Amino acid sequence: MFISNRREFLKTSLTTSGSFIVALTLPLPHRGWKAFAKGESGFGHHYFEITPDNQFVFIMDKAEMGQGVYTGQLTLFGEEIKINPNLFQVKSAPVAEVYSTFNGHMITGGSTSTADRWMILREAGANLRELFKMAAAQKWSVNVDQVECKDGQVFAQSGTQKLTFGELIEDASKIKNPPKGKLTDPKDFIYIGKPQVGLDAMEKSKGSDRFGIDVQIDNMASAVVERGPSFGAHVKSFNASEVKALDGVIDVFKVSSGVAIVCEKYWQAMRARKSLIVEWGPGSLQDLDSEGIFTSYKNAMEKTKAHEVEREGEPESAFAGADQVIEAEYRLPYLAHSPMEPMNATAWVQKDRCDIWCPTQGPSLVRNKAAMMLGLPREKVFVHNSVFLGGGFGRRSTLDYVVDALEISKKIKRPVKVLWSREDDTKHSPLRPITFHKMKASIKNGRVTGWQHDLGCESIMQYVIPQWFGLMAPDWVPDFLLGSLGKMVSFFMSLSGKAPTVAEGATHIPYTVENRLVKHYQLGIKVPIHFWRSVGHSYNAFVVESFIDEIAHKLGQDPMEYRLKNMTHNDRLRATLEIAKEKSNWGKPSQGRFQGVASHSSFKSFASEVVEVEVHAGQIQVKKVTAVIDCGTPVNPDIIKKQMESGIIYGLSAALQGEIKLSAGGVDQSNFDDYPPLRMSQTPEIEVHIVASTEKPTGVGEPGLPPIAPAVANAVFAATGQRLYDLPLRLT
Amino acid sequence: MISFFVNGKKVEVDVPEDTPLLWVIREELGLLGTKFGCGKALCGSCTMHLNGEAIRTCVMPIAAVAGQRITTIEGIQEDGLHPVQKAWAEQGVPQCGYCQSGQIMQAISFIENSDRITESDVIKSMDGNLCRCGTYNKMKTAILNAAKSMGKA
Ligand code: FES
Ligand code: FES
Repeated sequence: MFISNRREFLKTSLTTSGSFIVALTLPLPHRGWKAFAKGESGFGHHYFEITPDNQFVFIMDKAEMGQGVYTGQLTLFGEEIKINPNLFQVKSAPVAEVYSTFNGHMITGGSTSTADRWMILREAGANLRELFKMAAAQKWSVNVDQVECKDGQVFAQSGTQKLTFGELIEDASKIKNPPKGKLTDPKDFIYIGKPQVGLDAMEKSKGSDRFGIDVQIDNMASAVVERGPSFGAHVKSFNASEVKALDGVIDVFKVSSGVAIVCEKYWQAMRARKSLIVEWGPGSLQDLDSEGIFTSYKNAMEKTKAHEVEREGEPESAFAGADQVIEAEYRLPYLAHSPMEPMNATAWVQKDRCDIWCPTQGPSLVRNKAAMMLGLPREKVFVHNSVFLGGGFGRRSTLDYVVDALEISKKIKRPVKVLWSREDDTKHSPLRPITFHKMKASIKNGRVTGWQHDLGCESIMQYVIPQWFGLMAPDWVPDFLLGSLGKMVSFFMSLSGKAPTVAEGATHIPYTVENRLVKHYQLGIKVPIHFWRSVGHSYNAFVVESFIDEIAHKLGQDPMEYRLKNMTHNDRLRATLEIAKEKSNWGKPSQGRFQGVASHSSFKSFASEVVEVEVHAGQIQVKKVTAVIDCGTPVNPDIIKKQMESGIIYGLSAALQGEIKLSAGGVDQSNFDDYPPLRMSQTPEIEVHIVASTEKPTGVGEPGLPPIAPAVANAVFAATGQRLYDLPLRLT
Repeated sequence: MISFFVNGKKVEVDVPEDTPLLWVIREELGLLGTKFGCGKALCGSCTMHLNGEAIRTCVMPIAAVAGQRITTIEGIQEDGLHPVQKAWAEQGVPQCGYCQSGQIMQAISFIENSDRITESDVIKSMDGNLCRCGTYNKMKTAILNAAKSMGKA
């Protein structure tokens, strides 16, 4: 829902230095609007600024983690205000209510940034363009339609007159009722829809880009935290005096997550850490292992009551009257996000204020967490988000590394940078949940009449809400209530079975089957879990698309034709599949290769992928991927292509070699040797086709991922006759 | 005191002999363009040049480079852009950007130390540099373009 017709949608003002600044009101809930009405933050926080010397400053409230949001947002705004996106300077936004978009929070995630801002930023740009046109027209005493804008200058069509926006600031700010600008006709777009390399490409190629890990604060100490061998383990004792006596060690003490070692430099802390000996008390989860969890889900499916997520028609009768029932079980492992920049945060806790420099997908969560922990008013906490995040994939919307920095800075009364090693992150990252699935399809007269999906998976929402609730609640909710309210919400969610994201991709399958049942089982496992690129779709697409493929084969039909024939109520997805069929030369793979297909809709986009694999000595090699995406109006085809490649490669890393295995409540893997991302030599040729569309833009960062694992598994079946039900894919 | 050359300038540092070069460069000398990814020579984020050859600096003890020439991303080109950086920007290779300085340093040493370059050479020499964002295909194109502009492909 957009509220672009509100009077407060766009507010403009002059600063004392003579800059022209612009604030926007974003969609529901209208926090930004409230802030203005009360005049609290007023124009202290804004989106866009034009300086008297005609510089354009754009305040970025979204986290740029490689997905291209920086370029996307400027393309939308630049298109309408008619300023080349390359001409903006970008600064990262502080935490303020005006920037809240995600249920009132500043969160970058869910492939939403471009979709949500599609109209807002364009309308803001168009209105501003009109405002400056009007200012110039008045000055020249001509009609407003006799002037034109380009790159922050207004030209008179008839003559040689021109003025920059900077020169027009005074006049523009005097216009009482700013006009509403007309949105550009898509056929006249000059930036939207054009492949443009990312605006940050130059900086990132020079190596002058800076990340959270690069933050330098005066008098900053450096700290590492040793965490326990299993989730929930607690510190019993450690050799404090021995470590404290080491060169460069400032202090060693217990923090809530383990033992902190503080030095002046990271290299000193790393050295000291080698001498640290901690005795750990057993964690509450020390009996847990991945194999056991699969078995427990399986048992639960036989014995306990499930929550029904979807019920259509009469599945029980369909199964009772079937000629044949096809069944399969799937196991998918825990996964870590493993962004390339290790977790880090720098904090300086002082008596009456706190500053935090950190790469985060959720700056407002960080601010509120710090306020709650330190007992400070929220407005006394300042989050300085990095303009660039070294990858996110969901990992950077957790607070674990921020809490480390806050606790340590508070204790040592100095600014401190906490840096996790790669091992720290692999072993202690909140994970993509492990899942177990039982699938069942009833066949009658050669048709699928019933579909049942039993899904065993813990709910991320129920895990995260008790932690986040207090942070998401408005300021007026008293502190003592926050924690307990969060727990209550989570408790009621589990009672009612509400587990958003768990079954996404399992319900509303794109194939027409009259009788369907999707059931969800939980065990109450307390292993930290979190949103991982494409969330529920990451596992459900594998299961649904593998199972459909198996059904097609068992019915003696070509898996591509079978899909096309039965995908009768999702035209846009079907259209991507048609294109994939044609572009991939379906049915005619190159010599020695075998094809597999999968199709999946997520984050309001539609994607189909055909892969070609070779299998040599039991090794699966993915040679080529033909990917088709319909993400509405393609804002920047180059970035869409890159994000599709990225999602496919991220998904292939998981499909071919990604596994976080739990033994005795702890993670077996530790670094890139046992949890390896894909390498260049393993990367297939990837051809991306973008469906031409004038629909509203939809997600791009995640939708490329879900179809890749099932497409590969299906191709492996074509190659070997072996159906693989578990990830990562391993031939026996 | 250990002395060596960084980007053509002589520097002296007072750190234990086994301190990894990466951290000397980042924390003692304040050059932040080189990144830390794994600390175990597994990812290539920390790649610099030792006498023109790409090395993993997270496992390189500082004592081992005493008296030698180290080049970081900051020192790769005195003014303007190296042809590899230019090809990179033109292709729009970077996504999050974090691994990219290591990738670029690897690519430069590989191209400069080869006579002629084919696609399979690119894959062979870049295979130890990981990119979690998956920029490999654009990277391959950029390297071949750069090699061409340097008369090597
Ligand atoms: S940080 Fe040195 S290779 Fe990964
Ligand atoms: S660009 Fe993000 S890790 Fe390579």
